[in-house]
Amino acid sequence: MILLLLGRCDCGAVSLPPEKRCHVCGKNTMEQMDDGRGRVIAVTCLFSPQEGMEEGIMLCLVALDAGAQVVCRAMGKVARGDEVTVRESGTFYICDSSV
Amino acid sequence: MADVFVSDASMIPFGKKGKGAVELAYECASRITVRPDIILFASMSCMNSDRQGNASAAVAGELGLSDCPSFQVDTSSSSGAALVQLASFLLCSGRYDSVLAIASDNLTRMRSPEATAFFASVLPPHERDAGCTMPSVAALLWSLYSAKYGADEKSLMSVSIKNHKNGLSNPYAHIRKNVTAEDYEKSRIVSSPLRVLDCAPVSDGAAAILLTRKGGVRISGMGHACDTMSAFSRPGERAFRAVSAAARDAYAGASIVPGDIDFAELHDAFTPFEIMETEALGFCEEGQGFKAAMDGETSPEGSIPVNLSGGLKSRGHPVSVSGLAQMVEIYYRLTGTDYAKTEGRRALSLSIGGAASNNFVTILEV
Repeated sequence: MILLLLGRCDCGAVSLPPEKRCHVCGKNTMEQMDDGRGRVIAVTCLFSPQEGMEEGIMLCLVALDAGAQVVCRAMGKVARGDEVTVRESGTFYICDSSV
Repeated sequence: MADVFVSDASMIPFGKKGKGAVELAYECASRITVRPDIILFASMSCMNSDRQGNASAAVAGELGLSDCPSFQVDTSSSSGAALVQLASFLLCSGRYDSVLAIASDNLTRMRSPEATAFFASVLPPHERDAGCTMPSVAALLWSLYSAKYGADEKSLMSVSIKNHKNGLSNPYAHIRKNVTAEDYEKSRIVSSPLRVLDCAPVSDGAAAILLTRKGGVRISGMGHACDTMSAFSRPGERAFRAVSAAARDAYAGASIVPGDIDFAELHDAFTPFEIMETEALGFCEEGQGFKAAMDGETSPEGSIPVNLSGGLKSRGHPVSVSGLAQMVEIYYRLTGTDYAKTEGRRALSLSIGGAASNNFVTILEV
């Protein structure tokens, strides 16, 4: 299933959200679709949220198989090491363990 | 580069001040009596706290210097340090003989969730819209670090206890309170595993420095290095690589190595940052910062005393002011003026903007 739009540069760098110019070499990147699969490498549960947001949001850092790292809001319980799928949700990214 | 000196410095006690950023800037900078050729001003909050645009002109006007040229500078939480580096370049241009750098913030007028959102504004949109806050960035970075090096939260506790102990004797500190292991363990979780006692308090405050080419504490080395807006676009766990780059330039400028620094003021907005920064600055090897903190290497008696002032953790963190406040503290300590005298002739200030995306290292010497 195609879920995510990534940026991929000739130099090998992958970006999420896709960058217009590569953060490694500065060249233009190409957009590429991806299945969004990756692994959770860090988790935090937030008890002092921003104005208008709920207490207890789970945030995790996902290392995508495609190569980029991205902070996602976790849907349901996740732990470090879990295989997850990342997808877009409006202006940010979410992940869950429904691989 | 020609010699540039910190010739005078001023600070007001940090805390909940009940005054706007422009008024705080006046209260602090009016103690410096030399008329400057130009004013550089930083304040992240003046549009919020004072609804004051064109704020550098507003501050100049309060000081009776309406005809003095002025700029406002913003690199987020490192703005105060940015002022000093820009002032040095202005002085070296030969056009100006004295620059007054002023930073002030009023942040306590905001309620806590509002302030949390305000600080998160320095993150990229996809992170802050997911709910990410500055403490959660620090928590995620700590999670990567602790998994890689086998560190635990006892090292964070030792940073918190040390900095609060150091801050007890600082009359400018917002939180002058001894913190015990029990206090730490009982403090509320902000973003797991980070606790309230891992995070610098939200404070109001102001600092000012007069820079000239004539004399005082010499700025012997400067480095400024930037990185991606997201700390997580960087490879592996090298979130503070631009801090290392800034430090390399500063050490090269001063013709010294990290071991030549007598004491340092670091950006401990969150306790993990202090640990990671000691490594990025070369005070200890990669992956050894947490051990150095626990072994007392960064205590006043240790090999490299860090945050003798109490740091941001105890002194407080009026974001734009902290970088400048570090240099006021160093000026006081190297010259023995004001409240403290520290043995040594060379000190380092590190101020980071955002998630270590806009970083300044400055070395001062007598």
